[in-house]
Amino acid sequence: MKRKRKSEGVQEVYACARLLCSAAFSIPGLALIDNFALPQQALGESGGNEVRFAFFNYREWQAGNQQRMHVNAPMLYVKSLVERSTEVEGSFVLDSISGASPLYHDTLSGASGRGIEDERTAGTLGITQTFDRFSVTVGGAISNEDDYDSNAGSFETKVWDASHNTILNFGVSLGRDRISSTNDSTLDEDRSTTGLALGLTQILDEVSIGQTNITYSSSDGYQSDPYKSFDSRPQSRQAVAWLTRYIRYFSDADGSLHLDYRYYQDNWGVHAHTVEARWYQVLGSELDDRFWTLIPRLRFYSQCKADYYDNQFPALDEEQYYSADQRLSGFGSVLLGIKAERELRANLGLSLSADYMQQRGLLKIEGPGSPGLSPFSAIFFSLGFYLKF
Amino acid sequence: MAIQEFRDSFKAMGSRNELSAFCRNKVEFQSLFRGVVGIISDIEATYSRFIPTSIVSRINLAAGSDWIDISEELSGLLDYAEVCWHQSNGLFDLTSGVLRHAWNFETKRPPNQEEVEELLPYIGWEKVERRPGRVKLAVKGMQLDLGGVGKEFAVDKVLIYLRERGLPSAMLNLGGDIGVLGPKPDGSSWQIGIRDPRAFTESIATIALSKGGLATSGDYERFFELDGKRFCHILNAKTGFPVQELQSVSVAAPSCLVAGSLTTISMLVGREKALELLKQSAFPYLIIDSKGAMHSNTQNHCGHI
Repeated sequence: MKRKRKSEGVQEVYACARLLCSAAFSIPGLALIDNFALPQQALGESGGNEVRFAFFNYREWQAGNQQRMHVNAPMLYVKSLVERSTEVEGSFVLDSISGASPLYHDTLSGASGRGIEDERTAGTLGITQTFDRFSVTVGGAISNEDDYDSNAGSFETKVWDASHNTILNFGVSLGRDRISSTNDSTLDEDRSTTGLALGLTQILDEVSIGQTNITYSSSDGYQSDPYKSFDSRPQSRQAVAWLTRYIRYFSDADGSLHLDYRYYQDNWGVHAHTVEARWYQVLGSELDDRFWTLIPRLRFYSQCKADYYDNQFPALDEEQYYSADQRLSGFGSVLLGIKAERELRANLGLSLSADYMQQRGLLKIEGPGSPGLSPFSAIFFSLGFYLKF
Repeated sequence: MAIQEFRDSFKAMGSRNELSAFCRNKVEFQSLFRGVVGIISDIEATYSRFIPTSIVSRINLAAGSDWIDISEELSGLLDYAEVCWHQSNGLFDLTSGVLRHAWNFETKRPPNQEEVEELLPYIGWEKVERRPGRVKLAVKGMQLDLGGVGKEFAVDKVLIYLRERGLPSAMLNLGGDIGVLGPKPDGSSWQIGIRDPRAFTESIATIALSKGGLATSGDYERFFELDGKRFCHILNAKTGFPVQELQSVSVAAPSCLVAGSLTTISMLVGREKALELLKQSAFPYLIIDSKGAMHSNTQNHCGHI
């Protein structure tokens, strides 16, 4: 079974110093100054290293107050500067899941409802080598569960111009998954996925940055969900996702706004829109030198169903594709969240976040949501520490 | 052919300066040294308000009357100065040099309120008129003074010059504004001492720098004290009076020009705003406040508190 992807890194607050750097590098003759020397890197042998440890808790409810699923996951992230231009990044996650699998609509009463206890361990490792005007990253990821194994490798390169105002990125990834089932010990299927990504980051002016990224993925092999009684999907899936982001710093408020729009489409007929806004605010303290950073966010998501999704299974013949998987239905969701970070002492900080999400057919745009879906809600919490040295 | 460290000093821009570089032999070093002195001398001749034929002197002479054509480089520098002016809410202002008529650090006498207020109409970046490739100071008697950015800009230009010549490691000290091209051949960093604001010949901390610029602003460079109060040369462009909150600020940044502006802006905006500004920049900094207490985001300094 697939899990929801969790969290993301904290983005930089776009600040005065960045504006000065941008203006300085626009002076003819100064464009060749190396803009991206990491400040910590410039200082002797220390700097550029980071360790983050966080604990995540995810809870889901459906049809009233029944708690359907909850996930607890500790996560460790390490980043280290090996030589001045080589960076190594790794992460490790241990998810433990318990709960009931999704209950459907009345037409499928009696299906599922059994409890799930599962554990997932996953790790990633990446090495980035930076040269004068480009960088190369090679990475790998592994994920293991009782009934699902995944291995992937990726390669990415970034290229920039002398003033670092324009950055182009290009990446390729290859993955191989192995799917089995705790229900059916004879099930042993493969799936392989290829991905391509192309993106552009552009500094628009003194206070704003624009980014756009397109990813394409092609997946061949077993796509169905082994736990659904009636679920048969095409053996291949191609998808395209296009993300555009705009970041703007407001000097009066001393905060930054991040706006994202993402469009997704695949050849199963699913297409989806995501719009998200985040605000980064730094708040000072008079008593000591430590600061809070507060990041509230709001996200809307709307998805149109896959061609072969239906909430009532027809009389099947072997050739027809069908799935009642809620994730392929038409629905919309709203998420509201807040994250806070606080520096406790030099190099050590605390991070807390809470997000509330509600998903229901009614929230969908471009037409009604799929009928018969029970709305569900979810809450994510996280608590973590970070160390920079 | 082992490379070794060569060092030489020279006078320019009103201060004692020094270049250290790792070269194959003395001849190579001397050639680079001459090139560096030449670059700095060109910058001084072009931008110094003390030299009557410099572009800055010509602009100042034409204040209140003529538009002067300027180079793209000066145009870029003025754009940069404007960003500094915005970011400091008008406190960092390259037209505030006229205040030296009121503040004479030789006679050590503070001016009275009127003497300062008389000068305020001649100050204000909003009175600098710009058109593509040209500039004009709106009011006769206004003066542009690039003293606040000149040395740091020179350090950056010298670093680029040395880098273009393939030099892997060098350090330039231009009157306290530092530029470092890269770590020393053995991988170690250049050890830069930060002056004790109250004991000029002693250092209060050391910062190890392997790349980029380091600048320091302090209330001890030109000052006088009266009745226990210190009047220094860093003047608030709005009030016309010196800042009094911090003893010194040092910042390391990829560009010495940016480092220098951040230190000046920090001295101008006071302790709280300076801490906020520097923390957000993520650049290494060291602040020594009015009580002599050190605030820093880097462990990489040793000092006696």
